[in-house]
Amino acid sequence: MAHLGGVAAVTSLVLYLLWRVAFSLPTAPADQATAWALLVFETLPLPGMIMNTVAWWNLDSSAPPTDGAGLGLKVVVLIPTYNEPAEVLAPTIAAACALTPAHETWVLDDGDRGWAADLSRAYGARYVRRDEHRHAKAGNINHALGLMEREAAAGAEAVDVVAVLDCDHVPLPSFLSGTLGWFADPEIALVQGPQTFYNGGAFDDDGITGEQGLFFNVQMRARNAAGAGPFWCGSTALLRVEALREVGGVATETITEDMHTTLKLIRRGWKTVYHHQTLALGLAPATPGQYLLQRRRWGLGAMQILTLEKLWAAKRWMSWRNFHEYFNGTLWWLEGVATVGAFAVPALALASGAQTSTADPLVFAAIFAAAFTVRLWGAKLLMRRQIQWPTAFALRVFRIPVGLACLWWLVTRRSLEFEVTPKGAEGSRARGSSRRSSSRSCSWSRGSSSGPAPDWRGWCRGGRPRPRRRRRGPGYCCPSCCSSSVPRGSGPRSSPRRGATPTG
Amino acid sequence: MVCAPVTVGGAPGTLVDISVGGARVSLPAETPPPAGEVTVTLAGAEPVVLEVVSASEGLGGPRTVSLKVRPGDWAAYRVLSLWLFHTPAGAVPGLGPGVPAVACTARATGPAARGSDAAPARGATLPSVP
Repeated sequence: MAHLGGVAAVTSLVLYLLWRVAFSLPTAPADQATAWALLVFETLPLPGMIMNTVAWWNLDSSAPPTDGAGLGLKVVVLIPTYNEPAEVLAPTIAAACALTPAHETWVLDDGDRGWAADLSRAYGARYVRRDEHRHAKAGNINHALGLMEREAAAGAEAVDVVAVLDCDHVPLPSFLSGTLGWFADPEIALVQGPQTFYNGGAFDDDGITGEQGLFFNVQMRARNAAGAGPFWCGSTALLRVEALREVGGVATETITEDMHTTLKLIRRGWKTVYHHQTLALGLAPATPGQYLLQRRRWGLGAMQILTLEKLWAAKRWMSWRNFHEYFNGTLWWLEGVATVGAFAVPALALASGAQTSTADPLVFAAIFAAAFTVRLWGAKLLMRRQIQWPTAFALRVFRIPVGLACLWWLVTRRSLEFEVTPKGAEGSRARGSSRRSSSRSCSWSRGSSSGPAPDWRGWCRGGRPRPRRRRRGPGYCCPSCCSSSVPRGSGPRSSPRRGATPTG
Repeated sequence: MVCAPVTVGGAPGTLVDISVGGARVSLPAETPPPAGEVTVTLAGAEPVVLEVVSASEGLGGPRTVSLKVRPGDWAAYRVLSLWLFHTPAGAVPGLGPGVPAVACTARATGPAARGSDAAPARGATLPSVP
């Protein structure tokens, strides 16, 4: 039925457009110009519909080829945190420490909280902090990676894989045991799992918006194909340390470090996979304000990647599918502009007084309604019913400011500040800067617990030389997906500091 | 709502709600109201000491007790967290193997939930099981 739906949606639009051209266009030059302008506007969704029908034709949910326990990988679970209360942090650390196979759990605290250190040690996790809190979560993880490298250089066992969990994403028992097997393939750099939320009733839980369901149940599964590997969504993911070293650590040039890092990985020929099994449970944005804040950050980060990587230009290392996924995926964040156009263009055509159709109004309305209904029906089938149109339309209007902010950023190219979705911090919003410059600074630097920091290039030098492979990797748009609910906790907190690790 | 057997101070009861920071338990009316700190044992988990926040009178019906983790008691946080997310097999009747208790989404509807102190005590159920 999904295939039928995709074909029906495309066909209905094509037939409608053909009818418009063949039977309803006016003949007067002035009217014709306006009618054609309207028609071109109505045609705009067609390329996207065709691409989505092709891209979402097949979904894949394969299991890893082998059991990861036998691979002998040294694994460290990283939990970056900043200002979240104990009620949020404790279950994540406790569950991470209880995972199998044997591993280490590191709590990366950018909040320098004494109770977090006590909590970590009580659960058997390692507590890591840094003196300089630059580049937010990316910098925090890079600091840990630098620490690992220095310790390995000093004789400690080298870490093969890091598993990254946002501090509110509590891992289920299968988080490591079910996913490590993917790393039997030496070309795989990233294993991304779905993000599932347990605070039902939150503004952005799966049942209301349908966004997360569509993204993780359809789009990401559809990308488990050659040349279309999924991207890192910030949490519930495992990364090969060697690959991270090769690309200089986690990207810090943009505020969507996860997607940007993935782009760097596929540029180097690494592969990524999506593991479609619930591996962790997190907290979704609880309020409309948190939702918009999060989406705005994702959108602006996508704009940064779009311009920094010049995604509109074809690249030798990028498959056609990844080109589509990344380019159209980042452009998607301008949908708010298109939404304004969807209201404004017909209104302007109407206000102009021009005749845009020669068809009888009732006939026009009937044909338009029929075509539109078939489009919605078919698209829903193609999306495997993971969308609720009334909510989707409402959210689309709600997200108009996000699209306009993205457009404004493209015009101004101003420096962006990392705006953290409050997560147990009672509205105290942390900010850290992420400059638009493409130059990388030493982001993990100078941690007190780790001695002198290496130059960032050390990562590149540290990795073994890799031959370039066929381009494989992720694409699409939907941004890094984190969560950010604010349960009212009573645990100890510290005040937020500029530049510390946001995890939402 | 999570319905599961539990003991409070040695008395058998039924779990009504639970979170990382506390729990709400329904006890038979004839059970003396607990006070202060009590040992709570969830099915398949280690016993934990929780602080009683409130206890209903239980006139003619079950008594509902709200409990919370003592400040800084990381061990109790750990036990409740693992019970919620790494739920022992068979701990919650009707819950399939491998399904965490936190996945229970039904709202409490029983007498205990409608009782005068059905609302979770401050700090007792955070983040609450949805």
